[in-house]
Amino acid sequence: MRKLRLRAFAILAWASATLAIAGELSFTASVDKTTVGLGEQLQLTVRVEGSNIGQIPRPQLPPLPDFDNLGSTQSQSTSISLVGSRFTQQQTISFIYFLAPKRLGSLTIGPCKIVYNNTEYTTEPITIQVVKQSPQPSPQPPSQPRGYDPFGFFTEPPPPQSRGQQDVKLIASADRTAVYQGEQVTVTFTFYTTAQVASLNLKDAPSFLGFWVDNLYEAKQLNYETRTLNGRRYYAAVIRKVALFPTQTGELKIEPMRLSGQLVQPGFFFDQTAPFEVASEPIRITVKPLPEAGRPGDFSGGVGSFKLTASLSRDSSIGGEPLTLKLTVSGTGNIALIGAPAPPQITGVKVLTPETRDNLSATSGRVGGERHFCYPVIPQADGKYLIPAQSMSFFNPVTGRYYTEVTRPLEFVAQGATGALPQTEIGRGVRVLGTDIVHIHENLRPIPKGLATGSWLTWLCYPAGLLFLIAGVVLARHRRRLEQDRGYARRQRSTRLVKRRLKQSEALLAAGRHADFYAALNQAVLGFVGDRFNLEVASMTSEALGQELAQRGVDGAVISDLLKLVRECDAARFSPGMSQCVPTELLAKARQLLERL
Amino acid sequence: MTDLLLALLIALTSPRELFSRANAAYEAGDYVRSIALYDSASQSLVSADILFNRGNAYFKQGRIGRAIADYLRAHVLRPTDRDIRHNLAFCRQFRPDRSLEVENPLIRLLTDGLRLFSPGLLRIIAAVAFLFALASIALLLVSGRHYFGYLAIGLGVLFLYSLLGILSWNGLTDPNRAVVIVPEVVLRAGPGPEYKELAIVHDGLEVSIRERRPGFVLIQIPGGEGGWAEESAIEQVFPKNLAF
Repeated sequence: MRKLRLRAFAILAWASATLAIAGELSFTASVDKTTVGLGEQLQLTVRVEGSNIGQIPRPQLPPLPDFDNLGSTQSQSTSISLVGSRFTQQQTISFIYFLAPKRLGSLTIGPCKIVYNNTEYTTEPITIQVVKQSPQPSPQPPSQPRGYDPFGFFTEPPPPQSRGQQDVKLIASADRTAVYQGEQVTVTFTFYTTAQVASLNLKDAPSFLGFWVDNLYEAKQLNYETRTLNGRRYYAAVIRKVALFPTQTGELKIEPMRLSGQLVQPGFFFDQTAPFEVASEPIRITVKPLPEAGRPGDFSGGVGSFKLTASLSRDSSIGGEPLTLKLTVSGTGNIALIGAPAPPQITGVKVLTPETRDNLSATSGRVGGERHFCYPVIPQADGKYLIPAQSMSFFNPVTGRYYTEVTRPLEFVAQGATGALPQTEIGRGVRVLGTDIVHIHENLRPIPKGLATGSWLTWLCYPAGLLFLIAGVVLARHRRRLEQDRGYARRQRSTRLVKRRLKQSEALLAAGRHADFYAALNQAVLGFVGDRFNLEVASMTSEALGQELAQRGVDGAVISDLLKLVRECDAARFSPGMSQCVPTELLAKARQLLERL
Repeated sequence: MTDLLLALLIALTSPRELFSRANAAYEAGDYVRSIALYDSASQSLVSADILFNRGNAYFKQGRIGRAIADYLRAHVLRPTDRDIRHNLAFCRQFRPDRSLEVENPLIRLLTDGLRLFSPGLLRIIAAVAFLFALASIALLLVSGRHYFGYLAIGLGVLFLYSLLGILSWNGLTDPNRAVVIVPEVVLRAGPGPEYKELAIVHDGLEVSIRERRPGFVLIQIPGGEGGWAEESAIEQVFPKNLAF
């Protein structure tokens, strides 16, 4: 048996609670009963809540001529909670006074006072009915009430007897009963009990036909507070709180909610339970239609207090990259029922159907937040574009009039979207009315076939370039060797020099200058030998020259003919009368000899 | 007989005259005749203007695929012509099968930079730059003068740019690039009407040819899917016999 055994020993029903809150200090006064028999006593509790109130003075009681003050006591509690990233300490000091009424009738306990931090706090007066006989016994409150159990987890066996349903109530209340279509109605379902509740189940949930529903609160666990209803003290807990937005006009009915459960009945030795079923009364809401007169063409369906803003994700688009135009409706009202405005028509820009994103919340019981309409914007051509001001109209149920919100115009620049179009001027300038293909070209500008396709001549450039490179490498190498290798340099010039010198010899012979001819011939032959074999022949004797040439592998007959030619030239040159040689024959011999070398 | 006379007339007319007559036919709204005259003019003359105007005539006829093909060819011949680029982009908007892919703007900027010159001109620039770059190196080796080295580096950079541009154009002028030229064509699982139907594509869709069979081609549509289509339903944008 899972019967909940926890009982409440301190029955403290707040008959009237008045809150005086200034900053973080709460100052309230309450009584345990508002109807008391003459001769009985009642308990007045003055409670101070706040942080760091350890040095708070004792409250000043009002004059109590109709009561006897039987005494007082004091209790203190401290709770520490983590708020955000820091711990906060909350202290509660209760000053409890025991009073006994002196006479019958309606008596009033005046406001209590306390001065703290140069601020005076007061409580509301409390009215007490004093009767001859004691009223019904005080209820047994659930000191730790059972959790709200819509799934019936805490089912109890049938009780031996039922106490009836006078101890529980379910009250549905609406904050207003006549509204405009789309205007919020807040309905609260509150469960009242005077006895301990063993279990509680939701039997029938209201359907809210004709309303768009937004749940503001749904109890997972019942949080009781004391309330007085029809002069009787109850423990009350809110079961459900909903924001309703009528989608129809006329008389709409909020169907009852039904709860079932079991109450705890204290026994002499053991507690027992008794079943109960309770239903709320239906509520009738009169829904007025929105006025036809003055309804703007761009009415969005929004009923409430709203603002409209517009923004672009970027102010430029490159390569046709889409942007996002965001229209944001913010405020309180039926924001979730506001429809998306039609995509703006902008020439040269494609605006797609919007994506809707909501960020809704309930503040002080009013539904509100933000609804974003995100339009993908795709530029179709290059240019500077203007997104004109967007407007949406709403209905204000407080004033009973329509009003219009207008955004500011937005600009962006598109580059590389689809080639280019003449720029769209902003404002009063040129207005682009449409786009089409560019008209045909009137002039024919032929492209040379070689330029269009590339010519075979272009392919010649590649081998030609390689030849240039090879030639450059060879020439550079030759040039470097000429500079660094003297023998190579003399050998390279030997042929050219000997040809020049032989020509000079011929010219001297033709001029009849025989002595000069022999000298030139001798110099040509010996110069060639010297250059060819890199020898300093001028400082060498004939024998030494012969030996050097022999060492370099020159044929002996060639060496002999060379030395003979040199001797004949010297003889003809220095002893012209003794020489028998013919100059032309000597020249021919020299040519033959040079070829053999 | 009329056709014969027209053919004879065309054969005896210069390309410029044909171009002018085609323009006149276009202005008169006779797009069929203008297309025939542009065709004849393009036989003996390479010109982006002929292709551009013929693309316009096709577009006016509602033949999106052929218009796109001509605009693409004209774009290759004259890459910096803004009219061609605009009409190509404008025409692509009318394709029933649209691609949702958004081109990366950085890649587009890069390719536009590489395609500042036509592929033919880039080939000439590359060849000349190569020749003179190597000649400059040769002169540097022979003379030892540094400015020949700087010249060689500059020409080498120009050669590399041209080479990358040619490669970029080769991607665009791929002979396998094709476009659907009929209003609607069914893609099948095999090269024949008996094969299962896989997809339906429409005029103007740019595709890639993967394989050829008699009367059929295997095409790949953007996104990787594809199938066999009748050969007559598509047109190669850059056939090998076309002067590009």
